[in-house]
Amino acid sequence: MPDVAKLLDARNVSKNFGEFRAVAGADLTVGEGDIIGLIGPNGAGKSTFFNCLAGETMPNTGRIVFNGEDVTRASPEAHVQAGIGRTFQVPTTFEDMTVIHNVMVGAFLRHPHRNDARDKARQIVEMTGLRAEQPARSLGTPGRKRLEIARVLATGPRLLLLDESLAGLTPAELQEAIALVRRIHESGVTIVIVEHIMEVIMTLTRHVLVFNQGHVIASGAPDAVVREPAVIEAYLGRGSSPPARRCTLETRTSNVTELTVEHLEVRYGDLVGIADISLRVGPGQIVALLGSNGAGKTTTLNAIAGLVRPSRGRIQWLGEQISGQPAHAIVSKGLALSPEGWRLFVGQTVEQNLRLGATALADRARIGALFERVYALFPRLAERRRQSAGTLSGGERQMLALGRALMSEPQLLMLDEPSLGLAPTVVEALYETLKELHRQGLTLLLAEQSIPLALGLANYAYVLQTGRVALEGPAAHLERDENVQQIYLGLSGPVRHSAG
Amino acid sequence: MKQSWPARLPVVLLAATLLLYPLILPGAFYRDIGVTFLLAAISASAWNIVGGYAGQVSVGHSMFFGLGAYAPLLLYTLWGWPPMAGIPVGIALAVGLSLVVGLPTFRLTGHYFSMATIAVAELIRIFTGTWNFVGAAIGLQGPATARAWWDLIFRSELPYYYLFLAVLAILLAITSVIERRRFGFYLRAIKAGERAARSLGVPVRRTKMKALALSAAFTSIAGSLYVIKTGFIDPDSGFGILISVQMVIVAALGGAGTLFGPLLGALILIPTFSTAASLC
Repeated sequence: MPDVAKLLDARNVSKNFGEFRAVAGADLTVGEGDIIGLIGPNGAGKSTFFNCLAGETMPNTGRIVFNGEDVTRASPEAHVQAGIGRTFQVPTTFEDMTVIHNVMVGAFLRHPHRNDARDKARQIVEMTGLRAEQPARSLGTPGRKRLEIARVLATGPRLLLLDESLAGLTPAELQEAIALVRRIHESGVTIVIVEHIMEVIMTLTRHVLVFNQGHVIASGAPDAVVREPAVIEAYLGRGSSPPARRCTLETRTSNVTELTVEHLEVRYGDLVGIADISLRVGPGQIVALLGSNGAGKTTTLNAIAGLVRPSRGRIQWLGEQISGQPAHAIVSKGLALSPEGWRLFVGQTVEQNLRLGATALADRARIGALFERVYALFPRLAERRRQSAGTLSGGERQMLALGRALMSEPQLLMLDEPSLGLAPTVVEALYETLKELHRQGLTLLLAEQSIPLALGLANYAYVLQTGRVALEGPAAHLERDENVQQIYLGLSGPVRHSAG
Repeated sequence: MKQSWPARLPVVLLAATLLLYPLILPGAFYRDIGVTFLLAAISASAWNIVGGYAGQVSVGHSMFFGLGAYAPLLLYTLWGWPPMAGIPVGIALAVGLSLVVGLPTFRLTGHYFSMATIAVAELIRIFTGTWNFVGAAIGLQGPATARAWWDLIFRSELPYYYLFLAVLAILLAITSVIERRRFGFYLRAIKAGERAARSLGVPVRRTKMKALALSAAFTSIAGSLYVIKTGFIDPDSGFGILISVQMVIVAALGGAGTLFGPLLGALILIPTFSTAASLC
């Protein structure tokens, strides 16, 4: 079989940020005319890897050879010259310029004269269905994403790296975007596409690589790869190890609800963050929000906490309408959030971070008691109370974020992906703490990517998919429901039913 | 792209007004405002290339203005040369300085870049004030009376007016050409999004340096014109921060990054300044 010369050959690429190994020995070979997908859970290193391929980030180790040329240490401009183009996760169109001018900037690379550049740009604008004279700032998000693709196409790339260019689109827009990518591929451009939307990967790509913890853990045809145990474990969490046996937490079933969310919709400009979410949390319950990247878990929690404003729907807490209220008011009503990625004040000490958590506390005399409670729960924080938060380890940071949320003496504690980026033993300890907090009377609402972890703790769970609730039910039932896995891996279409 | 006649009309009217202004409004007071206006328009238009189009807000352009102002008088003081001969020298010095300053400062972004440019200009001003060779704090003077036409000392403001107008026209013509070519697109792309520009193959650093050099050259010319008219320079009137600030304000007021923005800004600001000053 003739050895097809590889267009792109990246070997053993690594990138460290301080001690954090974002990319750890990743390999990627792309043949001319391929269309390859790159998938993997949050924080797996895909974007950093892309940045290395595009020349924006210089890798610490490895070699990247494109079309026979070593581009490992070349500048971004040199990469584009050589024929590698890329788009960005967040559209970066030139807002002050028209569509055609945006594309002309790209076209000027190979057509230095204005008229040639304009003709080339016009061709591409037509192919992508945009309107030439429209100002970029008046485009919606789908238009911007399309423009970004058009613009990089004008540079005449042989290899196009698409970084989540299709996220946040409505189903109809998504189909159009998929068709566009297909047209581009058919015109002879090799494509590597990073996506969380499984439908895109399944329909467009013939070969998929799965990233986790900085390197490739599986590769093959899309439908084969998503069934591999290693992939399932990476996406869904520690499925292979038996989940911590659910302790007999009293499920105080009651018809009283503390928190009610009805038909919530949140938009980020034109991007649909969540389309239609309804959920209820009863006092003393532990409710889990499950779902893969981009499903809407963080947006839902942020909306409840008042950090984003819903465009539709209602949120009720203890009988009071809280949607649309400012975040600090919501905290003082007894809702606290430990955000994704912790969002600590890294320049401040542990103690200062905790104190800031008590800002909304009405009765200042309680602060001493609250400090004691947090330090009792987390002795490590007590030891490090004067240390700068930036020097804490991952596990300690999660503890601090949790402690900080507890300082406002909440009735309902929300946690956004508490296990993210933490080692298994740390996660176990964390979940033990959550159980303790629940025993002390706290209601918990947590968003988790790891299904076994979440279902091992929760009473009730909602599975989110592209901004809607696809499945809900008591945790014990969902644990046995195959649909959950299917939804995560995009193997089934949107489903809406309650299990049991 | 050829513009149709109706679109060209405002520009034609503007040109006609500027040409006829000294004849419409004669008298030293109005002529003086006219000359000051033109000088401000030239400086701001020069700044506009790197500050308006490319979005690199330098608040230290007086460093180039001052070089252009000192060079003619230095040549006169040292060797009796006509101040005019200092114009190309000033340009060379300014472009050289722009390369030296640009390399480190363009690594900085946003406010940090602006602050760095202020710092450099101030350093130069302070240094000039202590350097006897260039007159230290006292400064330099030009010829008191004209030895010949090439000293460019005129008793009336009129020749200065038309000289400055010619320079402004040339500068705007050059800017207009840049606007339509690749260089202009790249400048605007850098302003609109450096990271995106880079990802499209725009040679960002090189483009910024070219823009700064061009801007520096014309700012230097503005400085030379100023000194040819006033016949005197010292560290404050050459390198003072107010000169830099005025350039930025004038350009921003009328519309930074547009062809006629700086001119419009000067039109608004200078008559206001002059009238206010004359009332005190």
